[in-house]
Parts: sequence; C-alpha cells; structure tokens
Amino acid sequence: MKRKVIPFLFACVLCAMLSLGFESGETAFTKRYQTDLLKDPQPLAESVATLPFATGVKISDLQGKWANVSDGTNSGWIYVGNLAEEKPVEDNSIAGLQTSASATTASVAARPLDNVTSQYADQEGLGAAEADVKWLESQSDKIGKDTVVGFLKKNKKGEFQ
Amino acid sequence: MKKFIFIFAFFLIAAIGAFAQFGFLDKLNSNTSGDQDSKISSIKNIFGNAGKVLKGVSGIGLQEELTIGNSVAVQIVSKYGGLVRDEAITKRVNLVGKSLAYYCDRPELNFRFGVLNSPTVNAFSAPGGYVFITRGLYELIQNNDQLAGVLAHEITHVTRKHALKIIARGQFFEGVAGLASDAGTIARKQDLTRYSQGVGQITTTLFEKGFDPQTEFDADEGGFKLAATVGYAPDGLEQCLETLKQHEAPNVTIFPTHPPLDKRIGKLQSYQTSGI
Repeated sequence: MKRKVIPFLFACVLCAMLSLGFESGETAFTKRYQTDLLKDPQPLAESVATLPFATGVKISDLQGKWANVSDGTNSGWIYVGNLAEEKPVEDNSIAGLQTSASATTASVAARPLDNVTSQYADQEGLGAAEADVKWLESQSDKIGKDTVVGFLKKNKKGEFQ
Repeated sequence: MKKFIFIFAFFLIAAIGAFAQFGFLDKLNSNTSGDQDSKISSIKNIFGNAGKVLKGVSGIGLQEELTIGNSVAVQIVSKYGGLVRDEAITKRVNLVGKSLAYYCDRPELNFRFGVLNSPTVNAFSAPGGYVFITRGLYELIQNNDQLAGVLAHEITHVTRKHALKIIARGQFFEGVAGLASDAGTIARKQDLTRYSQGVGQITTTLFEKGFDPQTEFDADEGGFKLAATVGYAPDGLEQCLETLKQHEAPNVTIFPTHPPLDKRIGKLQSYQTSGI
C-alpha cells in the first residue's frame, strides 16, 4: 500500500508544481476561439466571462496547473493547458473552415480528402492508400470533442487532473 | 527508503525542469521567425508575384497546409503497407492522441491518428494533423504514457510546421502553395506535376533523410512539454525509447529517420534535470 501511496503523493506534488513556466505578473494568451474564465480553479466552475482567441491576460496567481488571470475587465481561472505563452497567430483561412463559431474548440471542419489530393493519388497510382486515409477519417471523426472530454475526465487528464 | 528518496528526487527534478523549460523554444522560434520571414520575402521577390498569398511562419496558409497534408498522408500510408484497419486499435490511438491535441498549440486542427501496417519501428506526421505510428512500434509500446510520448512528439512536428518549412525553403514553393490554395478546382497537369514535386520534397525527407537532428530534438522537447501538461508521464517517450533500445539488433531498424536512441534519451533526460 505504502509503495503505491508514496509515488502517488509525489505525482500530486509534481502536478501541483507543474505550472509549466507561467509566473505571476506575466502575460499569457488564450489559444481557443472561446475560453471560459472560471470563478474557481475547477473545470466545471461557473463561467465569469468568455474570452475570444488570442486575448492577452495577466496572471496574478497560480494554483497547480490553474492560473488566476485578468483581461483588464474580468478576472477568473484558466487551466494552463488553455493558455499560450506567445500570442497565437490567427490564420485567415481558419474563419472559413470553422464549423461553428460557438464551438469551444476551434477544430477545423471535418475535411474529406480534397480534389487536388484525389487527382494526385490518381496520378501517382495511390488509390488503395487514398481509400485507407478515407477510412481513417471516418474512424477518427467518430471521436468528437465530447468523447475526448469524456476520456479526459475518466482518465483524470488535462483540466480534470 | 532509498526508493522513496529516489522517487522524491525524480519528481522534484522533473518539476523544477518543467518550471524552467516552458516557452524556451517558443522564444527561440520567435527569434528565428525574422529569418524565416526574410526568406519568404525573398521568395516573393524572386517570383515577383505579390498577389499570391504568403502567410504565417512557413508562408503557407491553412487551406494549403490541409491539402498538402492530405497528399503526404496518402504517400505515407502507401509507403508503409497501408493502414491497420482495426477499429479498437484506431480508437485507442485516437483517444490518446486527441487528448493531447486538445491542449496543443494549434487546437484548431482536426488531428487524426492511424497505425501503419508495417513491422518497422517508426512514426510520421503530415501537415494539417495526420499522425501515424507503425504496427511494429505500436506492438512495442507498453502503456498509454509511452504512446502519448510518441504521439506528442509527432503532434509537435505538426504544430511547429516542421514539414512545411521544407517546402517553404524549396524551389517548388510557389507551385505547391498556389495549387493547394485552390483545393476545390481541377488542377492543370503541369500544376499537378509541380505539386507532386513539392509533396515529394516532404516525403523524401520523411522517408529517406528524416528531419535534421535539431528539428527532432525540438519535437522531443515540445512533446515532452505537451505530455506533461495533459498529465501523462513526462518521461513517457524516454520510457518508450528505452524499451526500443532493448530491441535494437542488426536486422531490426528502430526509428531509422530519427537521431540515435541514446542521443534522444540523453536529451530527454536533460529536459527533466535542467529544464532544457
């Protein structure tokens, strides 16, 4: 029992210390299209405000992997995995590929193999491989955001640690 | 007790390392982006075509990246025996991979993870978010921490646009980017030929030369950081490489397009002890 508990405790200590380089007083940036500013450092806490992509926020406190931040108007908590140290660059093309502006992740729309690739595959004699990639797309796209979040919760990963 | 002290020391060192290392290479990248931008500017001047869209660090926009990535993915699958069409295996790899991609530096990408039907031990990625590991590697991986270490390395290649930088540096840049940006149109034969040459530049690097060692170490560092952020063991990739080392033999090729295992393990250990 002791053998299992001690590593677990130190893993917890490690998690608590892993603020991954962010420090109080620094500015960080949101990297999703929408990031909730939470009332408490918990994934299901009440949302105080929703910040758009690449919003600069000032870190005032850190608790483990959670940062208490302010955008100048509102303050609250954001999981450090949802922050970037450098301001992300928005690709103009992204807007045209968004499935839903309200999506909390900015995942590019499910994209079947494009026409250029189909022509390329024809020219190179890669029809079987093209069919395999289409199969992979169909399998992979079954795993949407809700499934991923469920996996994170179940396995205590990401903001659910 | 000795074990206790060792475990404590390990976690303490790992935690100190993680404090210090985050963002170092991002800063390095931002320092080099000026050089990259000047290269892109030079390319633009050479072609004298200011109307073409040149975007981002690599000069290739998202639509172009997705198209090129699709084609590179098809080439990878063809070269390595097709896909393992096993739904359970594919689901596992995608769940672990997408849990990492959810917190990566480019969460807008729709990552897809597959297993190649090849006994060799290797992993690949294609621009836009395709990640592949071979069946040979999948069978040697012992747990999700190791799998996450491998996938996080490949995700970093994508988020840092390592493959696209090969095209951006090459003479076929204009043809590739121009054609790929019109992904919905029927390509002219000469355009398709130029496009094939551009895609060929990437696949030649992926299949034959591999990225340069610094790029691979960059991906190791980024993957280490990503896995730790999401809560997988920060040493998952190191564990995996140690396992692979035990299977090295004259007739077994382990990560042939990557730097030697010992060098990578040494670097990964240094990330934990020195914070990179």
